[in-house]
Amino acid sequence: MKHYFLLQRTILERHLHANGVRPWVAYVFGPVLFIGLCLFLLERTDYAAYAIALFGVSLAARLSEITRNDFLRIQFTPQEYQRIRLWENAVFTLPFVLVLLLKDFWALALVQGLVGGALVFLPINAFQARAFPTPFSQRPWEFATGFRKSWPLLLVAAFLLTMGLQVGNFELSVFSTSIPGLVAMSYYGKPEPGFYVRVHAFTPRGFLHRKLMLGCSQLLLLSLPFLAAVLFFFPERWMIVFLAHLLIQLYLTLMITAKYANYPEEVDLQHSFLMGAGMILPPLLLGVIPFFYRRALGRLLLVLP
Amino acid sequence: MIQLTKLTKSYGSKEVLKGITAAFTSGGVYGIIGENGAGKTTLFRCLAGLVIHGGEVLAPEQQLSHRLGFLQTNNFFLPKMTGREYLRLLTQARHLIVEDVDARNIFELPLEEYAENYSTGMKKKLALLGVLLQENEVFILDEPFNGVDIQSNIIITEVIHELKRLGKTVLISSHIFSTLSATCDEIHLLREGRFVRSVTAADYAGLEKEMIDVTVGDRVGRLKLK
Repeated sequence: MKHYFLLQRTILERHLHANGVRPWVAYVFGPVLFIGLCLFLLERTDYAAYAIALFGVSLAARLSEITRNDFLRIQFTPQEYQRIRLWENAVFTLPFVLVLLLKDFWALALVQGLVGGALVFLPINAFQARAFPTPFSQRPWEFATGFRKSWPLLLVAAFLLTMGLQVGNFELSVFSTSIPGLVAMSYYGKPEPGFYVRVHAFTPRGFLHRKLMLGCSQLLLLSLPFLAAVLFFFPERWMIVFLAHLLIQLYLTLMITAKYANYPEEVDLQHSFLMGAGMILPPLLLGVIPFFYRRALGRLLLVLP
Repeated sequence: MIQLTKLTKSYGSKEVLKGITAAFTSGGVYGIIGENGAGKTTLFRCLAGLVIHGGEVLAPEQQLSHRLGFLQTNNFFLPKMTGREYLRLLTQARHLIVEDVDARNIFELPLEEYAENYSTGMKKKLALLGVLLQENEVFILDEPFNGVDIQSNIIITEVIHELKRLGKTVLISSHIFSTLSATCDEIHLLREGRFVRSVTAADYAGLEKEMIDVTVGDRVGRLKLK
């Protein structure tokens, strides 16, 4: 069992190295960032506690995926398997429980702990015979597949939006309209296998424009319910809503161009910093996006003759 | 027509293809056979433009990659993508809108289910259906009969006959000699990176016997089965 957890640590550190992050940085700053982010959200609204609890449960639920658990059951004795699963769920659940206890959400922390423990004994069958419906099926693939993986986060966004509108908090409501865009950026996080690029009978410019056009139009579709709700409740502040959405569209454009500027590799650390700088200082996007765009064309020229 | 001239490919110091010269004409169905590691898949990947290679691949008309359908041995399907979305992606990638996918779903695949959850044979059939719907001129089918049920094997054989009738160029690899002899105009034997022999239909029986003699040899006897 010890060997299993040592192996998991090795795999984690390989992922960190592959993304240019030293493990000690992740071990030190990861918890600090996590706690800081949770406390920040909890300062804004108490309802963030529910979102945090839900997120923690969803993480623990991923460990209950049936093919993964079948593999563990085959390799380990029943007793070892249960101990492994209890430890795993404890590692993923405990931070959330502690944060909730820190802010006096005793009941929620208790529920979180109980659910996290129960999930050890309840494997979740990830094999779904029928696909989760999505409005993006007509123009695959990033939004079609990404929506299916990320819909819980979109529910969280809808929850936050509802809370914001209920209490008349415009800032929270506008922030909620940005969450679909931030989630959509993750749809372009990993480079797809070469087949899915080469199959296109497009020039590099045509391919990139298609990706950008599809991404932006599908993001608008995804964000529409959120935007409509905020505009209904705060019609006089339409300009801010529009600008916020425009900014999130630029973030998505940044993500797509950065992805293909590094294709077929993942976005490297230098480009990640550039992206971060562009997101923190939006005027920089006027230079960063064209930079990534030109690089992307060069990269795609190697793949799409 | 596709003309290969002294095609070479190495991975580091390992030479996989050592100078292949061949011509594949429109309306021709060509089989490629060889042992594991002979270079069949590498040859196909060179033709499909997936790897850099030495020598030349000439296809005088429109960009080969834009009219070539490559069925790989193992096909990867993106997580959470249904069969229908996979087909849509492949056809839209070629500027095609296919409205009657259900009617053309000749393998009766469950297109509303995630492709990653399909069985091995179903994945093969979905990938094949995808390249067929793209209206390609050239087809490279790497082990199209692998893992596929017997009824679908029959369908695939008839599909290949239809592609030939339509004047398409088809290259197939298979470990099942009978599937090649039933479909191919010419079979090339690939050994150690070279075409060592090319035979037409009249010589298939002789080639198969020769392959059995060479491949099996005394191996069964050496097992000393009791």
